[in-house]
Amino acid sequence: MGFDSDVLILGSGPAGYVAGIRAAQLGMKALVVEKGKTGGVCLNRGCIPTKALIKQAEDFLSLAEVEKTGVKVDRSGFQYKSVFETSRKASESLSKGVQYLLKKNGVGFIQGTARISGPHQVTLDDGRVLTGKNLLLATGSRPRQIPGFEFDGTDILSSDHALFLEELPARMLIIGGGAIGCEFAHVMNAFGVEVTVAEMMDHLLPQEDPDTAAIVERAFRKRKIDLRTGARVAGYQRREGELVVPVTLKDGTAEELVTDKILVVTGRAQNTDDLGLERVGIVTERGAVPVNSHYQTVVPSIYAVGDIIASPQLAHLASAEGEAAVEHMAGKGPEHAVDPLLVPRGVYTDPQVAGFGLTETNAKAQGKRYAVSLFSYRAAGKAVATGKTDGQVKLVYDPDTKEILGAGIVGADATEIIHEVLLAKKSGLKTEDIAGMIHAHPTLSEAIMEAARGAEGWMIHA
Amino acid sequence: MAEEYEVRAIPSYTKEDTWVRIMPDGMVKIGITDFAQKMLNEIVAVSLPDVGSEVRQMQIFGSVESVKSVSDVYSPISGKVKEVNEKVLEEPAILNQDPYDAGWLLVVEPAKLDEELKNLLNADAYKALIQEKGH
Repeated sequence: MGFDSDVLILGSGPAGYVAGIRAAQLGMKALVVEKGKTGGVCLNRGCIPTKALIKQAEDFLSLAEVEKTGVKVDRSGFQYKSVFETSRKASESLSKGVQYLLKKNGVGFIQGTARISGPHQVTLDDGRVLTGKNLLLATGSRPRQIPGFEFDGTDILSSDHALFLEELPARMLIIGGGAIGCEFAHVMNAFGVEVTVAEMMDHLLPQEDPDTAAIVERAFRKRKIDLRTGARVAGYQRREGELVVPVTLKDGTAEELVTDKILVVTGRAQNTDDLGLERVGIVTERGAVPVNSHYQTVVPSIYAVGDIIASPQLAHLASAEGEAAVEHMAGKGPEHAVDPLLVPRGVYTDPQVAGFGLTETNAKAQGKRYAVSLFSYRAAGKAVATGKTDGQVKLVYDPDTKEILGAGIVGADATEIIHEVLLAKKSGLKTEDIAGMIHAHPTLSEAIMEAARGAEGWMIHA
Repeated sequence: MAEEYEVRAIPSYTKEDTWVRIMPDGMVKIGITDFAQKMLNEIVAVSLPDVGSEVRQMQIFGSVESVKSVSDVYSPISGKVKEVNEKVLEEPAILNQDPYDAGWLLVVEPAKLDEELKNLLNADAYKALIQEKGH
């Protein structure tokens, strides 16, 4: 029986378009259906435009450093609209790039909204039916709304709204101190917005260790970002043109936060509700599509990857899952199986945060035998010379075998230098291998070498 | 081994190594202890909140950095910041030389002093605490 394609992919984000190209490489006929813009959230309303904003924010912040040399900087002509437009250009250029890549690899592309109408077929909004030997669901996620703070795009913003602001408010309250909240706090504060961050957990970046988060919190406080951790909010009132949010802190104290805009970034909801899953008997668990280790749903011809499954919502993980799924469809077994302990994560604040594997908190909770080696950025020559002393490298390792269990780096360039440790872990190298490798001086990577030497008992610059 | 740390009788202390002293006009002065500065060693940078902002009891309001490490500074009491010691911002070493006088950090208008004083340590209790911490 003939199908229109070997794999019919719903969604063209980092999961969908990468899966399409990988499928084509494996000789499969792939077809991608996208209802919005090619590239998905990552390129259009996520990773990419935020990085464009962050780069410009950091340029703007660096003016203060230049001023220390006596130069007078006139900021009066500053227009946030121009910052916004630059971020859109980056998105549009990369979105077009994805279209080009799909075309170049012979991956079919259809603009439209598709719903599953059978184990091997979807129906488009215009009634057309497309068939595929396999379906790959990669429909992604959207900002999650919380009760009491329904998005309206004016007062209550989602990350989507915040990315499309063309002018900045005087004050912004950010609800949610995870990666997205912290990155927006960084950008908004850099451009002069009075920022308050309210986080329900005890510290910002709740997935990181408290000592890692503390370095970011300290840097934020220095920049006069107001932090409220252990904070509960239930709603807001409009009062004389201002927004007032009652907050209850852990110790029971209550206060009112007054602001102009509220950005709610407490998580992302899977786009699974209007997919036709019920037509083929797929039942979501807390919004996520259940899959096996090959990303197959209960319907063997239908796979799901990326933000709609229960794994961490990261673009690079989505891509890796997309690749693994189509490799399995092609009968190639797990050529690049995804190991959850080898998935890096990054937060693009100043200082940056990056990590993979077990945090110390994870290791403790799992009852693992572990040890920790820390090396502070302020003991690294490059960090001192460039004024980037806020930071540390933390290695979590097995004290008996010296196997690396995880790493957490906070500091300048953390999201880049983490990969040395990750490659070591992936290759089964131990702390002695990093400790004994000559690292160029002066570099921030030396801090990684020193932390590894700490595990080996011969840290030099301690 | 037995390093000497100055603990004065007058101010009240927190377990996080800050002190608070009530001034004649009802305002309070806040700083870090001799023990804290000795633990940090050579202090190279201080970060403090702006005048007009609020601090809360046992919440972090700033940080003190030495060559080797950074410490958060916890407020002994809640209130509104009336004055910030600009001198220590410019010359952080003052904190090493004179943590109880010239090295004060903030002057705060207390919000609920009587109630919050109960949560603080007197000199003897603080002395006992640093005996434990220091060794």
